[in-house]
Amino acid sequence: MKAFDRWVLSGPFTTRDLGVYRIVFGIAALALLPNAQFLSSYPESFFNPPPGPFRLLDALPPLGVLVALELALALALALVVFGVVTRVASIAAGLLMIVLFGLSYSFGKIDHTIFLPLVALLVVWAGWGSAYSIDSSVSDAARPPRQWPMRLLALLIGVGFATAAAPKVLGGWLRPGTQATEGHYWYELLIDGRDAAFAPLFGNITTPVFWEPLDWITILLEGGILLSVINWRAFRILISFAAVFHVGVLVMMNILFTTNVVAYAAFVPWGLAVAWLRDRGVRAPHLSPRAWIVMASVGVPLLALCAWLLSISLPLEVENGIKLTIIIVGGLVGAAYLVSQAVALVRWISRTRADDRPSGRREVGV
Amino acid sequence: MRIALRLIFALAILLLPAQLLFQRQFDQPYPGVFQPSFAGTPLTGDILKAQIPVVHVEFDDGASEEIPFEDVLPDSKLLDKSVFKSAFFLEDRATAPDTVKWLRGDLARMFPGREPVGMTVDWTDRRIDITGATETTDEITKTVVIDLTEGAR
Repeated sequence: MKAFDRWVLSGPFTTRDLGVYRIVFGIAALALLPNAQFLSSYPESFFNPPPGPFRLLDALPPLGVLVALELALALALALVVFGVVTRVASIAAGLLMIVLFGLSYSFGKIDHTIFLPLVALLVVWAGWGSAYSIDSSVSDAARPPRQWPMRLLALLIGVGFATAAAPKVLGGWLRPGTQATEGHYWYELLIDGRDAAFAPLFGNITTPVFWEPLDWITILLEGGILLSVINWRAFRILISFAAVFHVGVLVMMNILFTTNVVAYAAFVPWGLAVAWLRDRGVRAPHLSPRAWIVMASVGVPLLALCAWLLSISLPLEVENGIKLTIIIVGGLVGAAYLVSQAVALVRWISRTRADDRPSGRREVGV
Repeated sequence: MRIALRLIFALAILLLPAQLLFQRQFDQPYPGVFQPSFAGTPLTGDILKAQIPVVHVEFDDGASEEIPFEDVLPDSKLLDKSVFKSAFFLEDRATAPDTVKWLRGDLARMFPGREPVGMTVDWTDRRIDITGATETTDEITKTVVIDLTEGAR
C-alpha cells in the first residue's frame, strides 16, 4: 500500500507549471465558452436529457436563466485567468461547465467534453492558484504543489478513453476483415457531410493495408492511456500521441476534439517555457500587489464580458477556426515532445552500447 | 488523508466497469467520464450502411414535397441528425402537442402562402456502394406520420 501511496503522491509538477496552465486553461475555456441560448429555439418537447441529474428537470430553463449561467461561467473563468479567489472560481467554473454542457446534451447527443470541467474541478486542488495569480501576490503562504490531483486527472482521462476502447473491441474493430475506421470515415463523409478540406482525398485509399492498422492503433492508443497512467513519462508520451491523433481525425474526418487537447495541456511542463522566455529577457511587468488588484478588478469583468459577447456573436466558421488552431497547436506540441523522447531514446541506446563495449578492446588498444 | 485518497482512486478505477455496465444496461449517462466510442463497423465489404430520415411535407391541396430534414430544425450548434432522431424517431415524441404546434409555425414560415397539413418521416436504411458513391439503395424501415391539422392533438 505504501507503493500505491508513493505513486499517488509523486509527480513532476511545480507551482509555476500549474500557474501558467491555469492561465492557458482559463483563456482556452473562455475561447470555447459554451453557448446555450440557442437551445430555447427548440420546442419544449425536444428536451430529452440522458440518464442522470438532468432528468430531474421537466423542461429547459428559461432564456434568462441560460444567459445568467453563460455570464456566470464567463465571470468564473475570468477570475481563474487572473487567479482571484481561485479555488471558489475554479469549482464554480467546473460545475457551470457541467450544467451548460448538460443542457446542450439534453437534445439527443452527448458531446464528450467532460475532461474540461474535470480539469477545473481537480487541478485547483494541486495548487494552480499558487503562482502567477492575484491570490499568490497578496498571500505569503507558499505551499508546495499537490501531485495527487494530477494523477487522478490522468487516471480519469485513462478511464474515459478506455470507455471508448472497450466497445470498439467488442464491436469487431480488431477483426482483420473489418475496416472500422474506413467505415466511419465514409459515414462522416457521405452521411454527416464532413467533406471539407483534405477529407475527400482519403476516399482514394482503398487498401486495407492503410485502414486496418488504423483500427488497431486507435484501440492501442485508447486502451494504452489507462495503462500508461502508472508512469508519468509513459502517460505524457501517450497523450502526445493522442494530441497528434486528434490532428489526424481532424484532417481525415473534420471532427474537432478541442476540449481534450486543452486537458492534455495540464501535463505540459509550462515552467520550462517560462524559464526559457526569462532567459531571453521576456518577463512579466513588475507591479505591486495593489496594482495587480486594480488591474484584475478592471480586467476580470472586461474579459468575461468580451468572451461572452464573442461566444454569442462569432460565426460558426470562426469558432471552428479557434478550435482548429487549438488542435493543431496541441498536435505540434505533442509531436515535438515525441521527437524529443525519440532523440533521448536514441542517445540512451548509443550511450548504453558505448558503455557495453568490451573494455578489453580498449586495453588491447592501450 | 491517505485513506481518503486511496478511496478516491479506488472509486476512479471502479468507475470504468460501473460506467460500461450502466451504459450497456440503460444508456450513456451525463455527467460521465466517457469518450466517443464509434462502436460498430458501418462498412460491410464496399457497402456503407446508414439510417437516414427522409422528410415529406403534405399540403392541403394534396401536394407533397420532400425537404432535407435539417431544414426542419432551427440553426444550432448541435448535430442536426441526433436532434432530429431524438425528436422524430418515436411516434409519441414526434406527435407531442408542443412539437406539432412548433412544426406548424416552422413549416408555415418555410412555405408562405401554403397550408401544411402533415409531415411524414420515413426512417430509411440507405446502402451506398463506396466504389461509386452515387450507387445507393434505400429501404424504409419505419414511418412516422405527424398530423398538423387543427384537430390534431
